Amino acid sequence: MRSISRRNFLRGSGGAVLAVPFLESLASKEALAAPAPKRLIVMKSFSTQLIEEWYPTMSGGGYQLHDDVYSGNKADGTTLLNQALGGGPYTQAPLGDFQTANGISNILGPALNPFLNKLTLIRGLDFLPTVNHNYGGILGNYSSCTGATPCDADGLPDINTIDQVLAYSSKFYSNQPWQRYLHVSQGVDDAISYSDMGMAGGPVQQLKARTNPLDAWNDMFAGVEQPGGMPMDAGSQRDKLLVDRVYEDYVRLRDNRRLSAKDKQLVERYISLITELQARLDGGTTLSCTLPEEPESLADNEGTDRGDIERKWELFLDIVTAALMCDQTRIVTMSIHKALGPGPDPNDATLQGHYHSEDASGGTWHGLAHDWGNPNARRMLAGINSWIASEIFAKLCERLDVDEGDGNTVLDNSLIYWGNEMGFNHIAYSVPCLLAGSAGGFIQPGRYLDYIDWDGQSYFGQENGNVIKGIPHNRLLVTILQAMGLDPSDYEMNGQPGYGSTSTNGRDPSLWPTDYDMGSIGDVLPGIRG
Amino acid sequence: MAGCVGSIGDELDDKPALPAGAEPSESPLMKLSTLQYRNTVDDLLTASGLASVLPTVEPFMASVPADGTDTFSSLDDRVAREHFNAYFNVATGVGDAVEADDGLREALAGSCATEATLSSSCVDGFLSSFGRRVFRRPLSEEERARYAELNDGERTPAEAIRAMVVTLMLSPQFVNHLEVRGVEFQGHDDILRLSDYELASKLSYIFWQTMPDDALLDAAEAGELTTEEGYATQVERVFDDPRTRETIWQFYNEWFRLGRFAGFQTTRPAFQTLAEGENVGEPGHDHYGDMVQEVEDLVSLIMWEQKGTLADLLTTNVSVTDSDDLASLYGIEPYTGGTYPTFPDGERAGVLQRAALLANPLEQTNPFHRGALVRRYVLCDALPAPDPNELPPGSLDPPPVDADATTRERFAAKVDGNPLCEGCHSTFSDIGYVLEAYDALGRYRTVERVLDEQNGDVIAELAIDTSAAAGIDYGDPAVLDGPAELNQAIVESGKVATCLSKQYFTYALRREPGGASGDRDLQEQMASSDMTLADVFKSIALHPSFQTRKVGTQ
Repeated sequence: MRSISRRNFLRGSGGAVLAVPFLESLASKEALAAPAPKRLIVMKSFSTQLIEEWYPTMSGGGYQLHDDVYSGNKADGTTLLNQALGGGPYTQAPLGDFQTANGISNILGPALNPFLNKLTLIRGLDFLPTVNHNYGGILGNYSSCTGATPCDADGLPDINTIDQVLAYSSKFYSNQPWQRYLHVSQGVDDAISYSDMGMAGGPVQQLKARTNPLDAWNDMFAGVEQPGGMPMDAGSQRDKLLVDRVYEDYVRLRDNRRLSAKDKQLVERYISLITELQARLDGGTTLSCTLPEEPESLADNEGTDRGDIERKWELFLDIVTAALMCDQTRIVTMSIHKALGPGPDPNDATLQGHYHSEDASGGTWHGLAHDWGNPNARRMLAGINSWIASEIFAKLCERLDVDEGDGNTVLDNSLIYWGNEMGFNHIAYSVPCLLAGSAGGFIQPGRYLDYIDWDGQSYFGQENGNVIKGIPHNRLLVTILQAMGLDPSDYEMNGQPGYGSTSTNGRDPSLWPTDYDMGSIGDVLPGIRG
Repeated sequence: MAGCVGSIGDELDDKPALPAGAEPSESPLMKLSTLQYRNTVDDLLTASGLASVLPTVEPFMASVPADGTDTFSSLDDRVAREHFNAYFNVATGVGDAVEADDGLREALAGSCATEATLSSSCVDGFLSSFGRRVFRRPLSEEERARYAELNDGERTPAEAIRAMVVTLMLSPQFVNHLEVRGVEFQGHDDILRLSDYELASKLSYIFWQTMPDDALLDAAEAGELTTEEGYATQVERVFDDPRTRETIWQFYNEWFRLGRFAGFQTTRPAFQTLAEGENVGEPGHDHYGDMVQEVEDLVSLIMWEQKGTLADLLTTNVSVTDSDDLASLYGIEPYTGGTYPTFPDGERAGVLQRAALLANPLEQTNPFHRGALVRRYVLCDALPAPDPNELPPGSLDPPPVDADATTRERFAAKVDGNPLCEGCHSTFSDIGYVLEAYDALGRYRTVERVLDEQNGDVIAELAIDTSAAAGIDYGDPAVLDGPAELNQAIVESGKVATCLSKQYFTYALRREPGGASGDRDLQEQMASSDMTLADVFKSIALHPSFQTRKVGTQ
């Protein structure tokens, strides 16, 4: 097994770079004397999921459809679960019970079958604040509606998304990481991540995502060499001395009385970034893993060329997997603004590129999601998400499901969270969520958990969805934070339990569920630990 | 850059008086935008004899995250890890190249930089030339001493030059717009008169999106920017440079949101029917690209060649497109030189009714989108976007195609009489109804072909009603009959001029206008109908507030 020493230059081109094809990455037992680290990978797709395509619709084998028991809005064509989950009027079922040759649903197709015992499908997660299309709601910053669709929640202050709570937590990263996080995307290059960059009380800014795989590769691997190359050395030390001087420049600038308090926060941000750079230049540890080949630059971020979309996701999967395996980072977000899916002709099986942006013009992915009354639009939407399920989510599971040497696989020790920005038809209730992995056994996987109170009031139905009270999405955030090793004192703010806003301001209680149990808002999801 | 008190550098000895109407609102510290950083590195290396290094650092410059906000890219003030990593890679990339190549070192710092030892005079010369360009001002004595320390005798001359290059290019002075060296105005310890060098930088970055050239730095050094005549001379020179035209075109592009078009949905059967015979989406044809080029050419014609006014731009009926494709959509001959073709009376007036601002990706138009674009971005009237969580289910779904109803009738049926919708829609929907005079390709029409979405069949042909009480001035009940009257109302309202001044202020100065007298006065000046368009844009630099900066709350 090759060992890799870190030469902490940041650049790839022109530096000494491995040029071996990406192979299955393995971590050596020697490198894993310490417990395996936990990793969080967040995948986000957009404009929700079609309920009948996303959730199981099986009947028989002991299961009925909601339609067999309920009428009206609650008869939504999906399977009624029949095992109590506890902690409330919640239900569960083994995912394996829904397995068919075609998967467990139209979207969650056969590619996921090998991993059903490692997945957790969750229904009934409600965003409490009023949101529309948004960036950071999936990770707890509900105040992040897109510019084209402002929302009441925009009045809330921006907070760190939970990936950034983890990124700057000394419990999550006990040593300075190579990179605290990696954000990748295609098309839209604003990440779903919001951060104060570890400066409590400082401004929270939206981070950027890499849309060129070469940039992501450089972030993670540039300058990393095989042993036998130059030892840890003079090169990075001399740059560290220079960066130390730049650090001093910024510290001096911070004292300039002709800067406002807000200006000085910007200076502090630079200082924080320089500090991280200093740490990387100071040297690192040795790991054993196989690095992916440096990819070609795919800088053109426009358009929906099928080949371009496919190639970029292939490369991103390589890079993300290797970054996690090589412990270059433990936090990854993937904003799936572009994917493949069927075209408008139902008789033509050729896949084409689709791009979800703020543009809701008809024919775009976003436009299809507005065209609920059109079966052809629904066919295309289901097809796009089915492609994501098989070509991104399942492949990521497969690549991470390798032995980590502690009786678990990397997937077992991680958590993949495939979420969305909203629930059905632009409503913030029952936001889709599929987890993979168990974060080292924190979560009992292999189940479908339904947190909707099906015997409660149905406020209204629309298309194939309905608004019935579920459980605050905040509790998923708490679950993830604790699964990653944090305690409430590590993330709770202002003495309030839980994470993320619970404001229902602007919601008319006669039209929308608002009476959630705030007493349990700081608890993990009921029954998720088994 | 220690906290400084009193006059330094090139400041006046006595505090000046703040001119009336010149008080600015707060200007935050901003990094160089991504575009500015790239241009600056390009120009810095080129001016310093290092142009051959550019291909080496180009991948790192390309990795600087693109700027973007909901309005103008120039407002993006985020600094992320990716920015600083890129700055580091660029700086060390340049440094490595210089270290390894005697020829580059000589070009950069003179032949003395290739000798066995690096003399202090050589270092001094290097800091006076390259250092001045990087800092966009001369280094102070203290700064010189700090950088000269890097020539410590432990480092070889090549290593010492490298060290200075890297630390200079990573310095806060290089990657940010630092305006901290000016002199305070009398009675205003938080308002500074920019130093000559800061003024030089501000001029070059606003109009060129790059660092000041040597001529501008020399003018600053000579104190010319302190005099009215000297300053005006440099403003004229800077404004007349071709780079100013590129910057101002980028403003129009972002103001009209031309870069946000998603592309024609050419695979839809109904779109194919709509665009039959027009080659939209065919290889070798770029209809939307041609539409955008038309707007650029029109702006160039009115603004730079004819020295026209905003009213000219808003009312011109000449066609400047040389694209056969776009000319075909317009039903007009392409321009081939000489006299410009004109549109028939009443059919298309001014830049606002060119295809780039009307095109829709689908075969159907969306009058709500068109009307909202005009109300929100052209008239700068407040118009919030709807929150579907606050509306009945299905409110935001497009109305289905109906053989018995025009697009206007279908859309109107969704909102008319609905108290949840009418309040907002009454301010912009009618604008969109008048613009139904243009189809999704921007072609003028009087009849709407209703197309089956599934198979593209024409299922009806319906006469279009393009009269509406568009209420350009809120509450105006006058019914406007067709796009010509709509355009006339828009022009006469004066709102576009006011909107242009606000938008350009924001774009150029990278902040929203505040309530201070200088901000208000500048906007009023730019909105004046007496100036040519070019003078409107130039006037931002001639206003007394341009030479000031207000430090925000401490």
